[in-house]
Amino acid sequence: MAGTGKSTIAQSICNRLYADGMLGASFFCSRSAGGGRNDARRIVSTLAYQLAYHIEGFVAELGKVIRLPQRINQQLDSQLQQLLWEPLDNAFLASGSSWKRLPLIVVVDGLDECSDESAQDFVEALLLRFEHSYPIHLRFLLLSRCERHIGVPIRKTNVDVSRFQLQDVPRSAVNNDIRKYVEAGFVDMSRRKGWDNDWYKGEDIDLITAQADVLFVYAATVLKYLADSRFHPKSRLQIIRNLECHPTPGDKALRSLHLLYGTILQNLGEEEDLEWFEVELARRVLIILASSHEPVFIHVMADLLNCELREVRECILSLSSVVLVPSQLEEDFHPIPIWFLHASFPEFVLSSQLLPVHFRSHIGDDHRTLALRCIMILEETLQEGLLGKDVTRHTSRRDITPNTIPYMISPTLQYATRYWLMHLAKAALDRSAMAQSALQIAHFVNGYLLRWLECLAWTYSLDAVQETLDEPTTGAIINVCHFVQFDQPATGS
Amino acid sequence: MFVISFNLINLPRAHDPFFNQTLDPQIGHALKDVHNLIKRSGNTLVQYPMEIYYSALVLLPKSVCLPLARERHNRALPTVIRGLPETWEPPERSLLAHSLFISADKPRAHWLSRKSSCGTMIHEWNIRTNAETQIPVNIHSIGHAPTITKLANNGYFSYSPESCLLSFVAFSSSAGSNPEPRLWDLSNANVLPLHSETTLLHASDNGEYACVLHAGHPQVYLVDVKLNSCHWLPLSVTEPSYSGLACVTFSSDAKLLAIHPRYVAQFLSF
Repeated sequence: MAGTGKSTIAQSICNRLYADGMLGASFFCSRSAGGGRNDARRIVSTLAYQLAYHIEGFVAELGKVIRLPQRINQQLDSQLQQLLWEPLDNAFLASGSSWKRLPLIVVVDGLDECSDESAQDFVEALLLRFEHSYPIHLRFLLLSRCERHIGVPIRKTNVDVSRFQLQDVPRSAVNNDIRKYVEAGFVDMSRRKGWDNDWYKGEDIDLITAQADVLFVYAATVLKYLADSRFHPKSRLQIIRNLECHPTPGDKALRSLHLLYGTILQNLGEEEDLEWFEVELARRVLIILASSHEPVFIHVMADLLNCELREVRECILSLSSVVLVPSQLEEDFHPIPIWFLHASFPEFVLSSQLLPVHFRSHIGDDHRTLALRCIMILEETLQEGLLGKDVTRHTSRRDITPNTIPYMISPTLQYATRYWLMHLAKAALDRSAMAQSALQIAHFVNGYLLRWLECLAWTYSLDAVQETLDEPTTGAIINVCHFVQFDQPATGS
Repeated sequence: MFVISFNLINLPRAHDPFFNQTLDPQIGHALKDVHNLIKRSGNTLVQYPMEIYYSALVLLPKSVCLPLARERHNRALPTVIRGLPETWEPPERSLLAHSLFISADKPRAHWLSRKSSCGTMIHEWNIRTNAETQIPVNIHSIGHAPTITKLANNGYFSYSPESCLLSFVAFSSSAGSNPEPRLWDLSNANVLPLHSETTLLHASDNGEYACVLHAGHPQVYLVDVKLNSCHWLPLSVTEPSYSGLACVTFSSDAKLLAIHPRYVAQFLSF
């Protein structure tokens, strides 16, 4: 289940293992962190790198493999064999009986955040080795949601796997932990603000614990909401007291969390007394973040929203209960990535039926505005041969140094390339809004499709666009575009 | 009856009306075309993004809504003469051809097919009359050496209508699961090792050159057998399905190249 604190537990285990000298390596998969952390194929090389620090003789054996790079391929089972098992076994043989350390533990968190295929490949490749023989000094701890593609290979294997499900922990035990967490949070808040602890009551802690009902993320969000330095927590605590949460087990367990998210957004304009354009900015910042599936630089958001960096910064601060606010937010020139506190929030934002009414009623127009702004950026920036004149049709991706692409294709252009169509698909639900945009869309489609496809290819975004095109909502674009074409013939370039 | 569709592709001519055609802004169709293009050629485009302006355009189906083509003007690309598919629908899967030969001095193309029911056949297609004749061939009579136990992908070889078969892409018998493609010159029994990802090739009549296709690379390579050097050919291949390329050949004067994806053949001139 989301929000139960798997990654926090994994982090705590890693800290404990590290203190005891038993942490061999760790990898925290993340759909949102970027840098390939949602690709299980990156796991093995990272683990090998970390193990090299801990296992005597491993570096030398790994070096033998790396010196023959043609041996290493993208297949996970081969990577495991060449980068882990082979160096590990050889290092053990070379050291003889002198190698008597306790088994090292390798922690891999969030396999469910990886693509289905790569996560399943990793699990199956791992089990394959354990089916034949156990690596003498290595054990694995995998933490994941119980997705079918991960759970089935583990259930079917003959390997002696110890499984532990967080759902099996008694609710009372989890809620006791949450209560302690909330209590400590309140005390810490009072200490930092120099207040006595009389601004809250014991009943408040009980209430938040009950509302959270085993979801740590709920408690964490409430504490962030209360800790906003621009407001006295007492007024916000009253909002929390007024929430009518009736958490129910199963699929509806997130209902209280969604109610909290909705309340936070609902009060953005009312309780915080923001101007309408500030609320609009906040709405569009959230849509950009939720659409991207990965952190977005603050200057990219300013480009997309056609506003000042300062305005985006202030907006991010107003969303600090659901968005991670980096400590360097005030720095002008640093490319600061922004992301949500928890992965459940983008899902909430994109599920329009869960949003407060005043958010929901503007969402189509927001997507249309963003789509048109993306199109404008694309038309201003796209050109044939984005990577320069030296890159010809015969230039393979392998001929390009990895840093060239992010250098030549800005993050703003990458966002616009990848998401203009998705914004358009969301906006297409509003037929009249689409009709107003017909000329701009037709101009782009007529003149820039090939350059757009080139940019998609360089930035590995073809798959993402194909997914968008596969969605039923894109059928709406196509239908509306036909409608537009007949009603308002576009002039094109 | 075998059914095969051929594409004849020529260099673009100046003032070709195709390039000056004004197209209606069929946005919806264009997005559908983009969808199909990504599905068919996405993997290749990721490796060679600039091919979007070249091969991907040359081999688009006829029915494609072409706001894309607006960007083609003034670009020297081969044009399709014959055989381009009408739509994005998959072509008829009626023939698995394994070798293709086009004659420069005669208006004919030859290819070889294998079907369990019919055995191995050499097909001759008269480009002018569109007539097709079939000639049975005994695969075991064409120099199957005992040291070669498996031919690449069921036996790609180049064919000379004047004499006999000239070359094979062969796997070593001892390599097990690791293929070791090589050019095997039947005239002198020399073996030239090729890149491990080579999937098929064709040797020229005089035995001095070979066209080579590599898995994962959309370009066609020209191999100088004597020097063991490799050159790019000016036309690359991305459509309709690179992974399905079955054979490649060129004429003796090196002015015509024929490629054969799994189900459709294209003839290119360069």
